[in-house]
Amino acid sequence: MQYLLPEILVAGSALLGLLAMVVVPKVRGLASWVVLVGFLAAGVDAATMWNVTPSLIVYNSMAIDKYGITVTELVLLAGISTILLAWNAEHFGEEFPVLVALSVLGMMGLGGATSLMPVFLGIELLSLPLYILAASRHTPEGGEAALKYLLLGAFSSGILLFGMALLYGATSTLIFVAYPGIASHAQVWLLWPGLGLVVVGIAFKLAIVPFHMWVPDVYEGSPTPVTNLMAFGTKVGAAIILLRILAFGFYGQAGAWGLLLGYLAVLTMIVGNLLALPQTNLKRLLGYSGIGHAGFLLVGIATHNIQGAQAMMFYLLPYGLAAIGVFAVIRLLEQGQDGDRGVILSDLQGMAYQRPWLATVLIVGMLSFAGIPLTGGFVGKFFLMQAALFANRPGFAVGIVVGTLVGLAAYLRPLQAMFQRDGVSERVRTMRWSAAGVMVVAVAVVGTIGIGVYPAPLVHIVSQSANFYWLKGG
Amino acid sequence: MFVVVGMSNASRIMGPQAPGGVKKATYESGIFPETPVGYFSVRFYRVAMLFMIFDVAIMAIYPWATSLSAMRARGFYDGLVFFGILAVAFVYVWRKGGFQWH
Repeated sequence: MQYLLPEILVAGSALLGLLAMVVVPKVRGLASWVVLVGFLAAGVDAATMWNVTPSLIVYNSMAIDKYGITVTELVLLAGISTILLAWNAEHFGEEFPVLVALSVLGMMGLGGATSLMPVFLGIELLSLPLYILAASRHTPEGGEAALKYLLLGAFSSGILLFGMALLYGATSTLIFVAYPGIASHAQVWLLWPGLGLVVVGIAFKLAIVPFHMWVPDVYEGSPTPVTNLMAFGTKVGAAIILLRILAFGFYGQAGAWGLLLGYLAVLTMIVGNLLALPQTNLKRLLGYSGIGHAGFLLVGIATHNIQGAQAMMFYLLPYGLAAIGVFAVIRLLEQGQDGDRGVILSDLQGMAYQRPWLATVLIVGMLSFAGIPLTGGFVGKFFLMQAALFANRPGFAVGIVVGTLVGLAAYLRPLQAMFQRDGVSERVRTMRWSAAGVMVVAVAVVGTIGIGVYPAPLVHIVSQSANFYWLKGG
Repeated sequence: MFVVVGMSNASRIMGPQAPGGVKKATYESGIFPETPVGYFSVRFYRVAMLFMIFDVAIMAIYPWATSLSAMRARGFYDGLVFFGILAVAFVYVWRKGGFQWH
């Protein structure tokens, strides 16, 4: 039971935040403090469990291992950055931090899940607060985003649940880590459709290409802190659980799903980055970039070797750090005049000269997305290519290169707009710094460059956390 | 089959026909339908949803109560945690005015 303390701390902070809101309504922002302290305490507590012997708890449906602890720390980082970006933003509603805490709780549950039951609970707990959060800005675009997200989310949950039902019918157990042992006498004709539907259901959440249509509208319509949580936290949760299900439950059938997911990954990388090219709205651009990065993550799953698992785990952090940096820049720009209008490329005009520090953050974030050396994104893409070559799949590596090249053009367009000399846009002139925003961008920039220059500590962590001993090394 | 078709059509052919008046109006449990309906009041849905949520939550208590003897003290305290979470939600809805009609 003490192993679930991080989850209990986050859940408790959500409940306490809810109580604080109604018991002492005069103290503004108390719920944000409660949830922030809960996140930090959960992060510290999860870190102290690092050397615990891996074990299964709660009737074999949750695992305590380094994989889950790494996921917990990643999603807590996403949650903390979201709370900080929405600091003092009372127009999002008082319940904002509580809903963020519940969503993060769902992601944490996904990290340790070894049974289909916590997988479904985690995905629902992750999604339901996000549907509400997407509409928390009370604009028509926010409503549209929330409705689209709700309808497609419910649809994908249905697919996922049907797949789980078929898997249960095939194997008569929900504990997917036990599937390799009973695969020989499972109902194969139910197993394959079940696996396919579960992968499709998770691919909706991860925004893999045939299932990516909802992403740009939802990212654009949602408030920026919420988009930050969707882009970082949701992606971590979905990618992590897809890897855990496939690598723990179905490693015997890897020859079949590996190649198929590889094709999807190449398609996702190229289509996502291509569609990012013509975007003028910065959040839409990040939405398509998120699709492209989902493709990069999928390469790590599809290669199905130990380098792939480690490379995917590695890639999550630089991607997330770059995302929170860029979203923080958008948020700071929105705090100027005309706050509800989306930030478009022409709003960046003259930023490099008028606001050099803010411009630096955007440059670092965009270059990390593009995979330029000395940023974390480069090291992450390097490891992914290494994994693809170790798996003897040069086609995946070619896909990464093509996707990166297309992405480079997309990510340089905001920088080009930023360096234009003729005039400074109203947005850049009226933007205001906030202490919470500065904290987020500082962590993002230092982390991105730190990982790019000295990746060894993170490599050590992911090599321990994604140490699936039955996978073949290179 | 002939009997069924014959009986169901007999009243239509032989019965008195007097359309018009209130006959064409929508039947709404004896309440006069108000037309045109510009918007629906959200109050009813809110109350219905809150009722559903707490009703379903209370349903979970029945199996807990009947199997208490098997679950011992541990099961009892786990159930109390569930009650606690439910109570927080109740307090929140109450203080937010979720149970007020206006």
